[in-house]
Amino acid sequence: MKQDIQYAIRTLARTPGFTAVAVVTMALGIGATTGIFSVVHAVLWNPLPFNEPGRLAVIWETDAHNKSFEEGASTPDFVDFRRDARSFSGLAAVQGRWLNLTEERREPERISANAVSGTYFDVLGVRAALGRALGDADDRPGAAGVVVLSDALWRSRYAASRDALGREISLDGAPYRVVGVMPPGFDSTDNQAWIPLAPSLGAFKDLRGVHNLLVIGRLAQRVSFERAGAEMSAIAARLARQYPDDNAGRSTRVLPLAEAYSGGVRPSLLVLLGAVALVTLISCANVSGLLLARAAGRTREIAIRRALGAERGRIARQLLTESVLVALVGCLGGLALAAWGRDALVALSPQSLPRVSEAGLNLPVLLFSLLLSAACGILAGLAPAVSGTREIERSLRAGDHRAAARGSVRGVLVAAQIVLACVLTTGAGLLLRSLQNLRRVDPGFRAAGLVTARIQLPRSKYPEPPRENFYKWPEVLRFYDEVLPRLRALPGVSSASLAVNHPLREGWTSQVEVEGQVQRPGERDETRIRPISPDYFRTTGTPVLRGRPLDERDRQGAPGVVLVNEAFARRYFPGRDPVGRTLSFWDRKREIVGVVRDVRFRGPAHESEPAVYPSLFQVPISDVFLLVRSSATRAVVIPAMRTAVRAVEPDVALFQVRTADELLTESLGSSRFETTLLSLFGVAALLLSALGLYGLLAYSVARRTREIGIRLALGARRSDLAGMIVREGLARCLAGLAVGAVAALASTRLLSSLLYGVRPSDPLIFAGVFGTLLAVALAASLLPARRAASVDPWKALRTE
Amino acid sequence: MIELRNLEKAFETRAGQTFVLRRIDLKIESGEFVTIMGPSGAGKTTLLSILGMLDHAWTGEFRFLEHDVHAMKPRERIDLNKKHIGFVFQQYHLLDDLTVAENLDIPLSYRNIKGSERAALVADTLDRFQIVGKKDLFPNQLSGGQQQLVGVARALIANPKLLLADEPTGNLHSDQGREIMRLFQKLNDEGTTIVQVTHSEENARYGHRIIRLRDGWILGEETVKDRIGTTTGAAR
Repeated sequence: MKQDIQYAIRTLARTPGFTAVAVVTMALGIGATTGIFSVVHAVLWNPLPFNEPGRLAVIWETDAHNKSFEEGASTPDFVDFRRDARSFSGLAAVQGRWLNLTEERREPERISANAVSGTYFDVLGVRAALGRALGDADDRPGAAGVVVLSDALWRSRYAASRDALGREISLDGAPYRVVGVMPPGFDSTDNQAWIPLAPSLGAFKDLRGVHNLLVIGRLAQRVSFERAGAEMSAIAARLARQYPDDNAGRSTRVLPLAEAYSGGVRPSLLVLLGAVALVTLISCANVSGLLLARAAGRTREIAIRRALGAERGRIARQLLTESVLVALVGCLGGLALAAWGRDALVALSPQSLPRVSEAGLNLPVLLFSLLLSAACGILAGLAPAVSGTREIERSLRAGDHRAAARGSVRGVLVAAQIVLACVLTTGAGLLLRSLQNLRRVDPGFRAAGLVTARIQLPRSKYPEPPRENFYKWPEVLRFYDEVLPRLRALPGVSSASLAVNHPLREGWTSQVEVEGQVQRPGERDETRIRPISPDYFRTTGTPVLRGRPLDERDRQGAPGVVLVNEAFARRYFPGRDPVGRTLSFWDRKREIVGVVRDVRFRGPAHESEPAVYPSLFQVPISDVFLLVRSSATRAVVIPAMRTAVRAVEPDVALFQVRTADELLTESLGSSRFETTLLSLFGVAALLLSALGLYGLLAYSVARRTREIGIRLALGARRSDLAGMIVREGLARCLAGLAVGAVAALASTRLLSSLLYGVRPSDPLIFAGVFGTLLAVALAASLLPARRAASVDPWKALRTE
Repeated sequence: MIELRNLEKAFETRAGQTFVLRRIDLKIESGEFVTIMGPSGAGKTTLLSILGMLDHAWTGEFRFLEHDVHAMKPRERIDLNKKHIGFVFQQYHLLDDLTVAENLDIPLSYRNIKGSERAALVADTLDRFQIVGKKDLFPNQLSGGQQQLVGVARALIANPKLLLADEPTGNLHSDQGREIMRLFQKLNDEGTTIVQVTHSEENARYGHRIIRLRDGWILGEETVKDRIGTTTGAAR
């Protein structure tokens, strides 16, 4: 073995050109696969940074009537779960927040935080790295405000100083004391702080119909997920009987916590991993072709070795050693490529891809890369190793160093590359068309010139009123009245409004009763509730189709009004005019005064759902979006918006600032990610296949020099010879395409769930791919064809 | 040592069977130095390849050292080759990427011999053939004669009982060729059975017996009367 390795190194070093091409080809395939694998590993397979993560579960609530399977729990439901469930050694609730962090003589900062129940850290089984975590004693109404920081926030804001412990800070105007810091990597959702849940629950805490808590739990000893799921379903059934108005038709799903992080993205990530594996296979086939050509030139050496007693297995081992060595050196290059591309890959990833920031060259990824390289080396070396010469005596006697190459095997390899390239480019073509279709979808509003920004009014200055006074929140109304004129007066601004959701945010749902249409509990549909200020539809460019928009009349004390969208009208008033009809939600009746165009608030790929738009002045909320339509640039508008808001409320910071164009781009995030990567893979596959075909044809021309010389001497025209080579190239391509078409048809079905407005068997895409591959084959054939046409017949025949 | 009976080799062509060797009956005793001669296409090298177990597509009987080669599988024949036969080629067929010492080591590495033992054998062989000073040179740094010398040394390093040589001086000039033939004679005197294929009548005179082939048939055999060399007389 040592001898084989030494000889392999020496042989490869003596042909630096060949070795460089083979190593780079391997590095491309291995590097791309390693990069994608690092993302897939981080998102899907990296264990969560908690104690015994396999025992952790998420408990979703489901709504059978609305076919919704991943809803949060209401606070009363969570209390009942904790009281009744025996399958869990602990249950905890989590609610995400955005908070203004302010301190004396320091710049305020907007941070993402989780309000958690006292059992949260016990359930996860993680201790604080510094100080302590939150406990039950902290999670009581009236308890002193305490906060635990993330390691990242502790380092960025307090330079990892132990003095941060005990520090008094203000979160949304309320005092909190820092009691602990969590270990690095604890929260992979980039959450920056944890505060107790109970003291911060607002007016909705007693409403069973408000499902705003994520519930997690740790399975009790020797309890399976199935058993826990059965128990929770039984508890949910009991609550449905007990509280039919709110819980009828509702049940639960118990899933591993890891799936809550990554379940939705699993199919697309696995598609990408499969696609990049195809690129690696093409690289292997390419290198295999190179090695085969090289082995053909070493027929004499192999024959000598066999004449000297080497068994075929020994020769094969020697050739495989070379190919594995090429692959291992390619592995080093691939790792460098993966490391270099890691940041670009993470930046390209959609926001919906959780834990992607954990992607990197850790031990599992390095091991994968090493195993992949060994496998590639063996795969690439198999054909040359197996096709060792049997014709020892003839090879030795002839002394002919240009012994017959394994042209047929190389031809099969090139055809295989074309098959794989066909599959990849077809997939890329379908996704590109799908993305194009998505970009053409009318989202229901005009994105150009629209800017959105979110604010949260601090609780300290805007304390939440009691539930019975929920609709009378004078402080918030005063803020609306003061900020809106300032926004409208900004230079370049043609319209400004406020809303709880911007056009591409799903928002809340609630059950809505339509007058005259009684629905039994459990059969009520969920409807999107989207409070807005007057001028909202003018600002977003969404047309009001019937009736009137909201206006200054629609304030506190006036009759309750809403607008509904087309989807709502189709569901509840098919063929009839809903204007003037009445509906109820949140204990209030409201008149429908208008119908607006549907807006695709779940993104261009999703049809709109029924939605109602009440007046924000009748349903005041302290967490709202500012929407401004302006002819000025982003760089001008956003600072102006900040100034306008700070003039009314100095302690409020803008966050989640986006233009509507950016929001639309983000809404396509997952599609863009898959399409971009698959397109890159498709291009790589085309290039590698072209190289493989070029190499085959060039070798064919070199081997047929004598034949070409004879043909010329017998009267063939040079164009005939060039055409002969081009036809050979196209024939090989067509052979690959014939199989590739079938393979592409079979494989593109896997993409069905990722496509929009295009069928997996779209004939135009297939035709385009075939045309592209034929063009690539033609391009790859041109240079060898030119060489064939340039052969000097007398030289060719004299050489022989 | 070698006995061939009715050995034949043929190719199937569109025109029917084309024979390369026809009804070859031949005996070679241990210690003989036999030359096979004949015009181009007579089947000399084919016969040598069969004797060297490099060619398995033939019919008839072939006994070698009490083994019925005709009844053995190709793998068994290769094992027999490894144990008892060395081959010298006209084109030397040294491996260009290996030094002289490494070229000598190659056949040993295919015979499950321990590294230390191999190193000792290589050293002995370099010494025996007086090429110690050239052990780190590559074939392209040697003359034709030196390359053939290394080829002979390689063929002998595993101590074969039978040495087969295919036109061993074909690519050498006459002085170098004589050196090689004298070496063969010396080896034969030391006990190695040698079978060579040659066009050269002079080279044939270094051996004991000449077998003449034509069109695949053995035309005849003759004892060398005016043998060149240090010893004369019949084979032992």
